[in-house]
Amino acid sequence: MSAGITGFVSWASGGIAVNAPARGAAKGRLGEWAEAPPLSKIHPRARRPHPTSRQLVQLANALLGERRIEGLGLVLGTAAGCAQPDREFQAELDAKGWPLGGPSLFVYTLPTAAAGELSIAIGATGPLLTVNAGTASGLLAVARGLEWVATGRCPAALVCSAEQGVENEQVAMFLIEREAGRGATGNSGFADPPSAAAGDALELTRALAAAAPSRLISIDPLGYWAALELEAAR
Amino acid sequence: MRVAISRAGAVTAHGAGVPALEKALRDAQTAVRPLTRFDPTGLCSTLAAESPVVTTGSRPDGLLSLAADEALAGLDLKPDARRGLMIGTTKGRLADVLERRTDDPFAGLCAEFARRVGARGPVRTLGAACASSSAALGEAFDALQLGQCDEVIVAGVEALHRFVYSGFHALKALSPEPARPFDAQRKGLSMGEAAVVLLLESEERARAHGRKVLAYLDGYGLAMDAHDQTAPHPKGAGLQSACRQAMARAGWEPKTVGRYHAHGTATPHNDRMESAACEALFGPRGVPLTAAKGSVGHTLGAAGALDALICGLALRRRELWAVTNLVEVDPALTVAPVRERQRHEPPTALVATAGFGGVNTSLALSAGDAP
Repeated sequence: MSAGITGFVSWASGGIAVNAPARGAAKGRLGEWAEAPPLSKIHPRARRPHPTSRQLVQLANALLGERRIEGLGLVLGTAAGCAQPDREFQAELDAKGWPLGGPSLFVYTLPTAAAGELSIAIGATGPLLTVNAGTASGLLAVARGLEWVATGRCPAALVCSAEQGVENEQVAMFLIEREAGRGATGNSGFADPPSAAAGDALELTRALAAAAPSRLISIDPLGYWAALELEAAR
Repeated sequence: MRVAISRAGAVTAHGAGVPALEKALRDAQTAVRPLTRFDPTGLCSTLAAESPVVTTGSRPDGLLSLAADEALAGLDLKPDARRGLMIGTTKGRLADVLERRTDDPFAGLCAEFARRVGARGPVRTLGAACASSSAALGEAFDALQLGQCDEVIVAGVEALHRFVYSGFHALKALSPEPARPFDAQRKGLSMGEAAVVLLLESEERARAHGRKVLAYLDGYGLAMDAHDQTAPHPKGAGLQSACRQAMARAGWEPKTVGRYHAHGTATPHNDRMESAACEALFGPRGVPLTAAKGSVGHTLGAAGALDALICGLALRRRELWAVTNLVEVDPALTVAPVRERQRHEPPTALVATAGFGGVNTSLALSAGDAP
């Protein structure tokens, strides 16, 4: 069974891109995305999600619209996924006292919380994982999503590479489906990479936008690496 | 290929070493005691299953190192691209994030451990809330089945931290007395800390190296509730799905399952949800239920690997171990918690975990060689 990437959305300082190269130069941070759809319209079950979770829901909406996929899997690759909620909760404890932290904020200190919020918002009932391999996390997440779909673990997977609330915010989200084309193959590991080249999920977005065959390798200073062989769909 | 768990090491509130853990669980002893690591004044519990082992430097690194000493003693750990490492944890080096030494609490912990154990194949940290190290076992299962490596070291680690303890206080989830899973008077969970290190490889490879098999990992399932961040689906929809996936991958039917090893946090929501899921899978009181968190506390990201180890130890003895601290089973539940140690066949189990965000995992375990 083959699997391929059928759609993507990305956010970086240059702007938002949905299934096409980014146009223009949107300014500001993801949290200041003025055109973001209101949460009440796209996530009826939302209570008070942390901004890092809310923004993933909004980007997923940009990619999926009202489409829902039975048994959809979710993989989130992130290095600093919960750093911002961690520090906010600690600041709350420092300010109010240890017994007076807010339960709703504490929930979002888990690195899985953002992916969990996505699953609730879009009704995804397949497998869910947050993966960390340093700065190779995003590419590794794509590799695992491709393997899940190719091996029949789920019919489709929504894969996110997200670093939010940090200096250089970047989010890339991919929809992976069965038999969508020749697709891509992935691998990941710790050391001895096949070659040295920088790459990440945003590079993958650019390669997809260009629809060109690519080999993407992401290497982390700690020694993690992830690699993807991409082939343009026929 | 049949996946075997062939080596194990553990540091828990019962001390360092698998033998201490096994003895305590067989005798249904609790390690939930007054906290010493930090001052719990003002919080709704003063108890935790705190490990008595002394570590220096980063606590999770220290716990992990001790568990690895036991699990990997005598193995040739020269760097090997066919050796993988999967770590499950929820907060990793949390202290480093709070003290702004890094934004990433996981990569350094995992990379340093990978260097120590010579893992140069697939290496990653998995987050699935309280199901994190079960998910790590599942990732290892996949990596072996896909031929990506010959052996995978799986670790679950979580250190007690006041930050997390305060968070569970805020959620009103902590019990003022040692946790009593499935008891009519249960009042919530007891937090714990632990590190577990397991070696997974094919049965053939374990035999070829002269290693005994502790347990077989025959199947694995992972599914979401898509219901709520903290409350489980009332009927355990995601957990049922995960259990069915695990059975399907193992080639099992519900009647193949000899026991259900519960997540069993002792919160009213969780135990009710697991009862509903069990009834849907096996019928009312259909299989014996075991649970360990009254003894070792809830070790969050380490819980899945720790439960798999405990269940595997009981399976290989063909025994059921009593649910620690259980006095009177909640009559509203339709499960059959084990009240005293007893012999039992068949030695097969589903090991369940459920986490925030609605993540659920299930492991299909079979007994390995007798001790």
